This record gives sequence, C-alpha cells and structure tokens, in this order.
Amino acid sequence: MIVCPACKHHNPEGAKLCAACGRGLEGFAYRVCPSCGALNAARHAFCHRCFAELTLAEGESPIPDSSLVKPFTPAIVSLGEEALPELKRIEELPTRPAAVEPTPAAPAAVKPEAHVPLVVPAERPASAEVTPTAPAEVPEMAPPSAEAVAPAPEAEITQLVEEPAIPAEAATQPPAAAAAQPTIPIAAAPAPAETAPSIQAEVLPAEVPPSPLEGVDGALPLEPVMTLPHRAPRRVARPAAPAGDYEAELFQQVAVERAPLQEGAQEVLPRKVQVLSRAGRIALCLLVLLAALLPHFTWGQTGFFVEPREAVRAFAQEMEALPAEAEVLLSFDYSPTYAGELDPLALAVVRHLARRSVRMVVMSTKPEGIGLAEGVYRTVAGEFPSYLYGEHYALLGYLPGQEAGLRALNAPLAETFRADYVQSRPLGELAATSGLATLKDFDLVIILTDDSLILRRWIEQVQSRNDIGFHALVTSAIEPLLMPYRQSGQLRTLIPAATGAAEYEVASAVKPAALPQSDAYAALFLVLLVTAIVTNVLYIIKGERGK
Amino acid sequence: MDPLLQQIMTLIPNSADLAALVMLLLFLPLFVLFTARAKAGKRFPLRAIPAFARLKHLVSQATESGQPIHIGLGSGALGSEATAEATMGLTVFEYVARHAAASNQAVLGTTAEPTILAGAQGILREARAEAGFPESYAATDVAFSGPDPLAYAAGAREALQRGHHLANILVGRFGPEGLWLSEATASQGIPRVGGTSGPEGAALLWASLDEALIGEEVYAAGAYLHRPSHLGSLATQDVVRLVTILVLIVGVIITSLGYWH
Amino acid sequence: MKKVLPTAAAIICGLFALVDFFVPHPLIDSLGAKLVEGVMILAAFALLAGILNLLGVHARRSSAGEKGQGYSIVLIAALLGTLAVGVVAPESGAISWIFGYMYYPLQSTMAALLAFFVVSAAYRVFRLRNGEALVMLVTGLLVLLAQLPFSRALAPFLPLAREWILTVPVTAGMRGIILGTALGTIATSLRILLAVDHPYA
Repeated sequence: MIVCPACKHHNPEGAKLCAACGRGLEGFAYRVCPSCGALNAARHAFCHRCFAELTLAEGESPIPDSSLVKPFTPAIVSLGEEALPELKRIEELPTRPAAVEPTPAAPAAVKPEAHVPLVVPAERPASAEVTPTAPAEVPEMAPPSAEAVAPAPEAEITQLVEEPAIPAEAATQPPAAAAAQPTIPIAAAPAPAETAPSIQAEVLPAEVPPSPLEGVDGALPLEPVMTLPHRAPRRVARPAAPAGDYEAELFQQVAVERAPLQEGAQEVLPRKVQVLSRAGRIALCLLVLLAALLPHFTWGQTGFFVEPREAVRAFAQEMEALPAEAEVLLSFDYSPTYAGELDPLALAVVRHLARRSVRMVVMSTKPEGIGLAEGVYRTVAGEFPSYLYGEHYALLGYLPGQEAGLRALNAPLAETFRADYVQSRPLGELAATSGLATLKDFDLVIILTDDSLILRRWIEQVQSRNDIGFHALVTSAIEPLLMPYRQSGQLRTLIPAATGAAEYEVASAVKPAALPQSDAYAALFLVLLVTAIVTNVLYIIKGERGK
Repeated sequence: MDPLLQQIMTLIPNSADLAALVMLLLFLPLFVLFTARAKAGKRFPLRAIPAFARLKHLVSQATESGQPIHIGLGSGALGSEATAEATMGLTVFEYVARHAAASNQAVLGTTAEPTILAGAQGILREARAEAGFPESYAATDVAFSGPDPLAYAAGAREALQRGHHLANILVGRFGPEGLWLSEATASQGIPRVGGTSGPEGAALLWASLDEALIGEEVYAAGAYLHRPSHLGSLATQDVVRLVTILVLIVGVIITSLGYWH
Repeated sequence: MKKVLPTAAAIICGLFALVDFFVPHPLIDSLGAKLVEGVMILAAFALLAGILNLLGVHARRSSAGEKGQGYSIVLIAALLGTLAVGVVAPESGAISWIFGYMYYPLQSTMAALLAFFVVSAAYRVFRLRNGEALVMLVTGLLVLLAQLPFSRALAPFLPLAREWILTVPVTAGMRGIILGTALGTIATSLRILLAVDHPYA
C-alpha cells in the first residue's frame, strides 16, 4: 500500500491520488506491506521483514500459489537423449531407489532461506529416478546417514552428478510413482507446525565403490552440471512477528504514525508550509485572471482618480524645463519579463521629451534592453514624424561587461561605443551625439531597470565619479530597495512604474496610454486585499472551532 | 598637515574610498585572528538556525534513501555584487556533493550563471574523485538552464518534476523566480529549504520554503556546515557589524546635537 | 600544482584590483582596465561553456528517448536557429521578429505566471499567527490600499502613510541589508584573497 507523502494515509497499490487528502502520489517514498504492515522503501519490491510482494493489486493475496513454491531438492537432471546425448552415461549408473511420491500439502509459509529451484519438466530415465521431497518438507543441509550413502563405482562415475542423501524409508517407495512426477520437484510451503525434514537423498547400491567424497558426500550436494539456472521464485509471506517485536513496531509508529509522546513532552515538528488546496488555488487564479481582463471592460475608469505624487510631479517639471538642445542619456536596463510594467512609463517619458525635441542617446547594459528601446522609439517616431533618428536621438547599443562596462563609460564615449547601433556610423557623424565627448556632457541620466543590482552598479561605477543627476524609473518590487539611495541624494528621482506611468501621463499631459492599466493594477491590489482579509477570517474561524 | 600624510591623502582623493580603506584595515587583522583561532579548534557559539539543521538532516536522509537532492544555485554571478551569495550556494553544494559522493549517490545542481556552473562542476568532480568514484561524475549533473532567471526557473522546474528528489534546496541569488521554483515541489510534499539575501526574493522565498534563511543567515552557511575558515569570517563580520552600529549611533548623536553637519 | 596555480592567480589579480581601486596611478589604471577586459572575455567563454552544457543535457535527453524529449528537440532547434540567424544576418529583420514575436511574449507569459504564485504566497503570509504577522498584515494592507489610484479619495492619510512606511522603516531595513551584504562580500573576498577558501577549485 502506498503511503501518501503529505498525510501518511495508506492508499491501495496503483492509486494516483490520495484518498484522504487528494494529493498526487507521485514520488511517494514508502510502502506498507500488505501482509505484516512493515514500512518499506518505495523502491523495494519485497517486504524486508516477511518477503511478501509489495506491489500486489487490491484483492490479490500476498501468499502466492503453492504450485510455484516447492521444497528444494538437488537432483539429477535428464533433459532427454535427443537434447543432451552426453547424458546417456547417466543410464549406466547403478539403479537408484524409486522416488517418493510427493505429498501435496496445503500452502503455508516457508522459511525464507529455502532455496527453491525452477521446475523443469523432462523425461527421466528409469535408472535415474529421483526422489522428490514431499512438498511439506524442506531439505536440510545435513550429511546423510551412513547407510543412505553408498559410493558409486569409480569407473562408472564419469561425470558430476548430484547425490543427495535420502532417508531409508524413502528407498522403499515404488519407482512407478516417481516416473510420473516432474523431473525436479521443488519444495512446497511446509506448515509452520511441521519440523524441517531431513534431506531426501538418493541412495546408491552397496556395490558402488567408495568415492573420494565418502563421508562428506551429500553434505554439500553438488548440483549437476546440466541443471538449469535457478530463478528467484515468488516468496510466500510469512505471518507477522509476534507482538514482542518491539523495534519494528516502534519504527512503524515513528515513521508512519507518530509515536505517542511521554507525559509533558512537547513535539517539535519540522516546519512545513501549508499548501493551499486545489480548489483554493483555482479560485485565486480565476480572481487574478478576472483582474487582468478588467481593462477590456472598464476602459480606464479609475484613471480619473489618478493624482500624481510629489516625486512624479517634480520629475515631470524637470523634464519640462529642459532646453531643446539638452542631451539626455537613457539606459533601458530591463528585460521583456517586466516590459509590461516599464514600457508604459518609458513611452510616457520618451513622448514627453520628444514633444520638447530634447536629444536622447539610448543604450543598455542588458542584451535584450536595446530591442525594447527600439520598440519604444519606433512607436514614438510614428507619433512624432519630425523627431528623427540620428538628428534628435541615437541608439548606441548594448554595453557588455556589467561593472567593467560601466567603468568604461568614464572614458571618452567614442572609445566605448565605436559606432551607433542602427546605422553603424561613428558617433561624431550623428548630430545627436556629435557634441558628446564624455559622460559629463549629458544633462541628466535616466535609468529604466527591473534589477536593483544594475542601479547599484550605475551608482557605484558612474554616479560616484561624475556629478550628473541620476533619475531611476523602476519596477514597484525594487522601489523599496533603492530608497536609501533616494534619501542620500544619489538618486534625484525614484519612480515605481506600476502606478508611476499613469501619474506621469497626468503630470506631463502626454497621451494617456497607461491609464487603462490602472484599472488592472487596482483590481489586482483589491484581490490581494481581499485574499488577506478572507484568509484571516477563515483562519480565525478555524481557530475558534478548534478551541 | 604633515607632508607625508598629505602625500598619502593625495593617493586617496575620494572620501568614500577612504571609508572603504578604513573598513578593509579593520576587517583584515580581525579576519586573520579569528580564522587562526577557528582553525586551532576554538569553538564559536552559534545560535541555532533551523534551516541548516534541516539541511543536514535531509543530506543524511538522502544518503540512506538513495534519493537525489536538488540544489538550486540561483542567478548570482561570481564577480558581481551577488558573489557572496553565489559562493554560499557553492558552499552548500559542496557539502551536499561530498556526502552524496561518499555513498555514490546522485545529486542535481541547477544554475542560471555559467561561472557558477564551472565552479559547481569542479566541486562535484573533485568530490567524486576523493570518494573513490571518479567514474560516477557526469558534467550534466549540474545543469545550466539559461542566463535569464525565469528561463532558469523553467528549466530547473522541469528537472525537479522529472526525478524523485528527496529535497529542494535553494541557496544563492533568487528573485521572483525563486517562488516559482519553490512552488514546483510544493504539491509533491518535498521539503524545501534555502534562502537569499536579496530582499526582493527573500520575502517570497520566506513565504514558500519550509525552512528559510533570512538575509545574512545565507552568509553563515559555511560556518554552520563546519568549515573553520568560514567560522572566522563570520565572527569577523559580527565584530565589524557591532563597530558599525556603534559608529552609527555615535554619528546620530553627534549630528543631532549639531556638532557635525 | 593543480590547486596552487589557480589560487596564485586569484590572489595576484585580487590584490591588483584592490590596489587599482584605491590608488589612482595611470599605469595601474591601464593594467586594471586590461584585467577588466580579460574578465569580460572570460565571462563570454563561461557563457559558451554554459550553452554547451545546455545542449549536452538536452541532446542526451532527446537521443535517449527520455520523457520530454520533444521539448528538448524544440529547445535545441530554437537555440541553433536563433544562433544561425544572429550570426548570418544580424542586422536583418529576422532577429527583430524572433525577439518581438517569440522572446518577448514568452518572457511576458512567464512573468504573468508569477502573479498567480504571488497571490498564493500572500494567502500563506497574511495570516495572523503572532504579533509579527499582525504588524506585517497591517503594513501590507496600508501599502496596498495606498497603491490604489483612488486611495486619496478613500482616505487622505493613506498616501502619507505609505510614504512614511517606505522612507522610514523600510529604508532603515534596506540600509541594514545593504550593510550586511557589504560585510558578507568583504568577508568572501578576503577568504579568496588570503587563499583560505577556493570555491572555484
């Protein structure tokens, strides 16, 4: 039975979902033995205690069919003359006593140490009759009695044969019964109350001369050369150990069910984060989806309420106050992951600067940033046909090397950027960049980023060595991380893009493209609020019920 | 001013650089002293951090059960601002790899940074060789899913869902993708342990991991995983932190009283 | 020798970079710039090694017929295709098309998935387990309310409360984290400079 990794419920073999908690059972670590209840690792096929098969389906008995399990009896194998002609010499051996007819016994547990070979149906020669052990008897690895063993004539023993000893009473059995038996009978499950029988070995006639192995003959019965290889059979489960098997029971309690604590003891469980139920997750996902789809139905109604905060208003005023010949460096240091949040703010700022014909030089320290910048400027160029590439703005491309690359910005620009990104012309040939020698020639730097480390790099490598105004337009997630730099004055502006885009559009009176998004943001924040409130209400109710 | 002092001051024109030099000069002798004491066997009192205890327990459990452990090393690069976190990720990886190698068990490491990939592969190769199973090393035991954090999380998620891992350990630089990676194994009931010092990821990981390292606890990984050299540096950090706090308090008092602007 | 050489290289380069940071000398600056260029080149080769690792993992998966081999084949095809287009025709519209119609939407999709996980995490985080959770819940609710476009209409103090929360306690916490990160970075660097620790070997 499969133990659920989450709630430890015992599920039937083959189950995909836990019947108690509904979680998937993939990756389960433990199985419970259907026979004795012991805990086993998932990769085991047989119980480590009672050797029952662990992967039985529901309804299938852990005790296998008795016909597959017979006592082991090493015996001479004859595969028939046509199969192995060299075994003809077996017939030349002295006549052996008739085999004992095996007594079919009721299936019962066998000792796990019993070695049970494969049944090989074959014809046996009359002279080489075997004595099958009774199914209820397990052969012992003990030397036979002296009268049971008689060494074969030296000259006649020309090949290795196995000569198990058999009790004297077995020698009196009629051969005819044995002839009808399968060639190698295997041990059946003996009843637990029965004692282990002695090995039934074949007895050679007295006229057989003593062999070199006299005395030890039969103690370690040798298997015939032509015996087919054994295969591990299905083992029969043994009954559960008595209640005195304390350690195993304790292990099961500790591993599967929690052991009862002593008086006054406190249980310290490893912390486990409670996972939301499937229904709860689906409900939350649907709420988020509805919030994201809202702008299609509300068309930016909440935009009427947008009021720019002081920092946004000041930034918009600073951009408005820039003269037409001012040079602004913009760095698009964000990835498409957060383009949904930063693109609207980037568009608003670039529209504002383009409307004022301020020169802009664009670069990026992220490979994908320049692609995003191209998209923004393509949109703005379409709205402002007189705002031309090369004359009013230029794209310098990707600056590799992270800190090293930013340090290189302190050198002359023409050494860092040999040519522009779009037309591959030297910077001196473009009107937008012709008057720029170093970074100090820029009036201000605007960095759009989704990574606080990138902005820290800019501050450490560039801002600390150049007295230029730095303005950061960032994702809302990293705004708190950069507040120390804003407070120390290393950043003149710090605007979060989620709400900042709509606020900037209102403050700068540019095209209100980001206003509809404010509906989605408002809805998502409301979803989070409602989640927090409902969670706590349910938590409190559950706590009250628990009391 | 003394001409020699003037000459020295011209070498360091920036007051920020001067502060950095002072910090370094304070750090260095303390570091040497504490590391020497740690290597000599002196015990440093460490407060209990449940995440590291759980980590050690999971590693020993993996040795017995034979199931691999996944270690996510994040997207911090060696040589960037996230070097300390990336190094701690490698330290944890080394601890897990050595234990796994000793019993010839599998281990899975994932990273979004190629420099970490090379370091982790080297650590694993050495661990397998020292344990006597050099042939067990496979370069693909440490997987690089892509430089983008979300692409990395997608690749690591797929690797996690492919195998039956015993635990999901995330130590290194993580952002929001850490939440995604942690949630990948939430439904399977696999224990999740780890942390990052970056606030944007730390809050999310704290919410989703079973045992989370908060902030600078990540930097203590080496000390808690029994490396004497890390004990010394941890003690040094604590002393310098105390000194910094005292300087801040004194500075606030002096500035508030108007003696310094 | 196998461990001595990398350790020696790390110590020499680390010390040189340290001296370069503090001492503004033209010769040291130029050598430092060369060292930095070398780092950039090494990082590019490290990326190449990473790409080969990625190809190796997925090639093995697709050739062995493992589960998910279809995705591995798609990944290899996309990687090689984009590489081919970028090398053969870097200035053509094909790269822009791949970026605009494949890379951009895929990234945005994955980012959108995060929203669901964040809300799910909020369910766990915003629970009144103890006093700390109460402080976090109240602060979180205040900031969320203040983010709404009509927050000022709801209550005039909300934007001010948000501003105060961000500029006072949050900034203090961030400063502490930055200081701690700096100390951790110094400690790590000193361990490598003094050859006490070598995570690279």
